[in-house]
Amino acid sequence: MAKKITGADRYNLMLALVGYLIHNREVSMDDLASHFKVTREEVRSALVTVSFSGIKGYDPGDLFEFDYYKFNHEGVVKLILKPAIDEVPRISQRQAAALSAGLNYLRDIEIFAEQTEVTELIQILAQGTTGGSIPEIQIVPGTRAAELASVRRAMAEQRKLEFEYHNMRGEIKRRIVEPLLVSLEDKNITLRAFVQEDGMVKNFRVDRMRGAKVLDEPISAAAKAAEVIDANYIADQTDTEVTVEVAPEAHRLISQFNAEVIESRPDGTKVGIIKIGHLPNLGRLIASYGGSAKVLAPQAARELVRDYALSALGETAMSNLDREDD
Amino acid sequence: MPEKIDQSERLFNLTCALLYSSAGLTKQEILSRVQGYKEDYDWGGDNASLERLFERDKANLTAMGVHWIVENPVWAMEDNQEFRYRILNEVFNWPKSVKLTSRQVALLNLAAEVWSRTSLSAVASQGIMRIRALAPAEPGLDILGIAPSIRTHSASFAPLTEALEQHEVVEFQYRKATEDQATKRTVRPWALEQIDGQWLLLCWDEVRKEPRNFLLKRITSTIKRVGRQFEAPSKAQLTAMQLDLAEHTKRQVADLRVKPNTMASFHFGLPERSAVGEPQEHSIRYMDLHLLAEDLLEYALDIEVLRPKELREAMVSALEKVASQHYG
Repeated sequence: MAKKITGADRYNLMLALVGYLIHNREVSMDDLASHFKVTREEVRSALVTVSFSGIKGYDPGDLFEFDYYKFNHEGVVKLILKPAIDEVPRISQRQAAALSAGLNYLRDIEIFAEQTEVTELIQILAQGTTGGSIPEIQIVPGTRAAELASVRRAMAEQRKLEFEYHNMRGEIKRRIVEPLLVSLEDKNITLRAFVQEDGMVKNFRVDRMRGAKVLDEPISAAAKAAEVIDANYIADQTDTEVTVEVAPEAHRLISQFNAEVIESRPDGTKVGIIKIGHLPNLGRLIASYGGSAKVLAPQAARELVRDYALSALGETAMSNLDREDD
Repeated sequence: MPEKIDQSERLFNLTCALLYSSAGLTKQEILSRVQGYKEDYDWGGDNASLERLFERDKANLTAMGVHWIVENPVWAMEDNQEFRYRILNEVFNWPKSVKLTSRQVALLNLAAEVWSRTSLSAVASQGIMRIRALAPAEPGLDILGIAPSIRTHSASFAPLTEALEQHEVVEFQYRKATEDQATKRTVRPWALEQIDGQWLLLCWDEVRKEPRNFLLKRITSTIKRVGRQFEAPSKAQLTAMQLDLAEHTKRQVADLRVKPNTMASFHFGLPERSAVGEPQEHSIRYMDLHLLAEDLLEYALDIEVLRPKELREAMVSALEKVASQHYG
């Protein structure tokens, strides 16, 4: 279900529609819906409201007016009168900041945009902003996975990709996949690809690939027809429910796993339930929060985390000769 | 829902009225004439709740980048009933000379999508909605095959972007990695940066009287505005701070030994070796020792930290904490 639009969103849509209709004389409601990526009903309802609006409402010409025959019978919108508004509004500083930071993020992973193209666009945004300046929200280039270039080329050329993969269970397997979608989330880059031998779309973390190479073979019709769900994690019936207690520093754990929050304490601590596919990985996951995330139940999960921490402690402390025994 | 529809209709009519009137409108004129207010206007009576509604609408429009000017006629003196409100066309309208191609609009669509899972989502989609109105009518090319997404797990991200835009001093509680108790910080937010998936606030610390960085994940309270504004930093000040941070990261290097063919060796992009081979050495630069320690804890079974010693100590103390929390 599409999410319900708020009053502010609807106001914004009305301004955008009017601005667009000033530059494009006759447009069908279906085209407007697809252009603005909203439903036809949202377009229609926003335009009906526009048609009751204007500057005073007593004299002819005070209200917005469409060609009502076309509107009602042909589903076509033609603006006849437009009191007061004659252009698309500028964007706010915050809107510009969000869009430019988004562009920077895309430039960072170099997936498609040229440096100059992005720089030029950020300048355009600054000119179209009220106030003329953009607040600083920056994404600094991070560590990119070495395999990304091959993944990107396979995507662009629609060819199969072969690589070695280190999976969640610690096995290394050679895979030939048909790439469909590259999904970036913070610093993790995930490839969603069709795997012919399994007949399904699977997720592959790019930082767990090695020696990726693009094959000559184009991707199959079956792959193209496959449905891609853009989710890094899809809950499964065999998952184990784990209750965790997290300090503010570890809230990421709650949002990453779409956890159900069962308690929020005044000091910012939250208790939630996360679903884990392969339980033995829980140790490394919880440990990476360095003590700000704690497993409350089940007992077996607590023991897994403790055992992981103890073996890791052994590995880490082993080389530390200065450390005395407690 | 009808309430919300009323709001959009009222805001739209208010925008039209303020754009249209070249002399500006007084608050009383707005409340008594503009659709959405006039229906409830009480001539000669008390309109206090309508006035509050007007103030809220004013704040909403400003937040959405629709800026008003307030003219105070010379005869008005202290009485703000005479203030005249206007929206200037030249401020409101997207500049005519600035055009966008379909390709540019497609890139901006993608840039807006980056925020789809964050608290900045509504802001980004309102921005992109206006951009689409500027797009050429021919079907825009969509850039398929890529789903970018930034997550801002921290609840302080959205309030900080607001404070950043409005140059407002904020207060929050911050807990350093090495301390158990959080302490209060009063800062002027200058910029937000995401480095390797971590959000960082670059700001001026009002108590310490120097530029400081704070990791958003270590902010433990809500962001409180103190109701005071500050003068925006100069470009030079901000650049100096960003360069400092980059220099600092460049100088800090950790050396690791990684077991071959483990998830860690894949993660660090090390070449293939025979399974029984010697560990591979690998160096990484880092911004924050404790952040790196946390990142490395995930691979603790497959790596050995050669230097710095503090990194190994940070990992040991974190692992001890994790182990002790899971006894019993």
